[in-house]
Amino acid sequence: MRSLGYIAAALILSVLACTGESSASEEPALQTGTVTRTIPSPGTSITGLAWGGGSLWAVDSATETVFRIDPVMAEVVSSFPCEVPSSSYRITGLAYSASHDMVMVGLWDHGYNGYVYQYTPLGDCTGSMSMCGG
Amino acid sequence: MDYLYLASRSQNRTYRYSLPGIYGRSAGTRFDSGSKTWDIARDPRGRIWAAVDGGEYSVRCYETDGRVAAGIGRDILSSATGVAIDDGGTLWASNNEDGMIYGLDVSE
Repeated sequence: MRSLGYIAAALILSVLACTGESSASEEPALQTGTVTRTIPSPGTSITGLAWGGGSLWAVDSATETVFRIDPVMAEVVSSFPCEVPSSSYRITGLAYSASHDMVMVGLWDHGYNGYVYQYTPLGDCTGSMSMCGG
Repeated sequence: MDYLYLASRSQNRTYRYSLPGIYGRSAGTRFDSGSKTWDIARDPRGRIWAAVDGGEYSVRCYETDGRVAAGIGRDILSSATGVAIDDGGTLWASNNEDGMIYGLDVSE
C-alpha cells in the first residue's frame, strides 16, 4: 500500500462548485522558487502538468493533446489526443496515478459540469466520470 | 490506496477521491486566500501547490490547514496554469505567456 503522503495525483477541476466563496487575498510572507530547468512548452495553452513514470506530462487545451516529456532531454517522447464530450468543454487539469499507471484529464464546461477521462500512458481511453452538479 | 485530488475554482478548496474508480469524495484543503485556481499539485508533506490568477504570486503553497505557506512571485514566474512535483521535489510550472515550462527548486 502506498503512503498517502506520496500520492501525487492532483488536478484542477472546476465543476464541483455549487456556491462560490472567496475572501480577501493575503499574500504569503515567504517567497520561494529558484529556476533550475527550462523546457520549451509543447503547446500554447498548457492547462495541466503531472509527474509520473519518470516523465513530465502536459496537456494542451488548444490542441486537446496530452504530451509525455522527457525532462532530461527536454523533448516530447509521445502524445495522444484527448476525448472531449463537446466543444463547450475545456481541458482544465491533468493527473497521473503511479499505482494504476493511469493518466487523468479534467474537463469543465465553465458552468457546473465536467468530466474526468482516464487513459493508459499510451493514450487508450479506459473510462470517464461525470463530475456534474457538485 | 491511491487518491485523486480535485480543486474547485470557485470554492477555493480541494476534494479527495479514491482511485481507480473516482469515488468516495471527502473534503480536502480549504484555501485561506481567495483566488482563481488553475492546476494543483500535492507534495509529500500534503501541502497543495496551486497555480492561481491574480495577486503577487503565480503559484501559492497551502498548508494542510489552508494557510498560505509560501509563494512563487511573478518576477520569477509571470504566469502559471499547470503545476506538478516530481520525485525529487522539483516543482514544474507551465507559463503560457512565454511558452516555457520551468523546473523550480522550492526547498527554501
